[in-house]
Amino acid sequence: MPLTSLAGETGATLVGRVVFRGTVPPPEVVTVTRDPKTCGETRTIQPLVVHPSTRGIQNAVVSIEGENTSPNTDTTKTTAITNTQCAFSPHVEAIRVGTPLEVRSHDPVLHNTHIMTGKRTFLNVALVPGGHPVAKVIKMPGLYHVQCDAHVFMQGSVVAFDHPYYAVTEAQGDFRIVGVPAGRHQVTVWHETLGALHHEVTVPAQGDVSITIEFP
Amino acid sequence: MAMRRRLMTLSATILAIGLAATTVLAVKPEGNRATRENGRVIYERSCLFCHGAEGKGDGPAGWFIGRYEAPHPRDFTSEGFKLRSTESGSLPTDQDLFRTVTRGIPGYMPSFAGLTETERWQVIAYVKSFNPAFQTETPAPLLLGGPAPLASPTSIETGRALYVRFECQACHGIDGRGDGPVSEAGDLKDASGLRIFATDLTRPLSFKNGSSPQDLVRTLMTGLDGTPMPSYAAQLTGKEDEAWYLAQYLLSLSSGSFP
Repeated sequence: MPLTSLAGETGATLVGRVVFRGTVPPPEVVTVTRDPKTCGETRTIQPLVVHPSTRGIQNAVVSIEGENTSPNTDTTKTTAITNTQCAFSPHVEAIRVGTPLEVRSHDPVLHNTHIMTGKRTFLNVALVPGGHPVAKVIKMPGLYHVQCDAHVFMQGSVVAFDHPYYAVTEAQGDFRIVGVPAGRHQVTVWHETLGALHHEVTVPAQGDVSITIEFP
Repeated sequence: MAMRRRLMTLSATILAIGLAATTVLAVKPEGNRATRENGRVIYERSCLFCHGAEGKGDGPAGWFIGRYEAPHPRDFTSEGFKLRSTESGSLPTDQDLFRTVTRGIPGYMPSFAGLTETERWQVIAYVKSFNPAFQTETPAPLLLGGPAPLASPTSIETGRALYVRFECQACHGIDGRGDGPVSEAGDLKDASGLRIFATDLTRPLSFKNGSSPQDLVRTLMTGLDGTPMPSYAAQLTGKEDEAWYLAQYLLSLSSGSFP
């Protein structure tokens, strides 16, 4: 059903965990050819981060399908991606359409933060040591790929939504979405290597709903 | 006498073509259906072979250009645009498209200065109709760096220091020959994932976005969308002179050598 209430107002809270019980593939070890003082001699790339005891997946994006409830009026909020020690922090970010996305660097080396949606550039800016951060408002929902062309092992993702019902899973795989209206909803989980899956959930008018979503 | 008159007429024509190639003289036609329809006729005669019937960059010449070689003809329907005066990720202005159609892209796209200015505006109106984003976005040109200061040994030296501070050498090499470590490692890719190479800055005639100081400042400010070349606008805003000094240094790399 269409979503009608705003997060933080009335409605239920959807809490849950995204888990992966399969075998995690070994990480890729990349030799760093540039700026090893900042980036290290090698990098261990593991996009599928599974908590050893909970089996929860970090950096999965959970969202509830729905209609755009209202335009984003909170113009004070900025979401930032920081280049630090040759990695994007956070590695995966979820953002509401209408929010500025700021990119900045704490590293003493040149990075360029290059964000694409499909084949179209959203932003490609040089971040020189001691330089200025750059912000740009996200106007379209969808998946944005983040990369640094100067350090190709630096990759990240931004997922933009035109509604407030989304969350990124934490280290133990947990997420929490507040203000969910009552009714039957489709929950979508996206992970950068596992892809997307859907899960039906029935939400009451008040209280918490707890779900566990398992990737096959 | 008649011969001399013919020569003078020819000279005037050449001068007029030269002027037309760089300045906009004709009134831009309204972007209505008739203009687009006229543009379609020109497009199908002049552009379709590379850019394809639906503007997807998949014209039959793609086979000759190379399926797996960059750059491909632009896909007007969904890709960004390299050659702009607007901020990174924005669409180009009409003037930007006019400049590209008029000048062409050295080594890749021919100049269409042979079309009248009205015809060029018509084809631009048609090209824009391939991408609905042109209906909703209003690209605005960046302010490009104020008046150019005169080049001097000091300004060029300042530009050289900026080249190093901005780590241009990572891709373009310390001597600007396009042989920086990131380019040599094969790490530079375009929006289609095809390998591309950093521009050899000692060969200004090959610069896709033009090689005048103004062109170089524009490229530094806007970046080249769909390539790894980033925008330095945030680092150069309020320091317009630095953008000019860097442009002067880049042009000094080719002085004394045959382009």
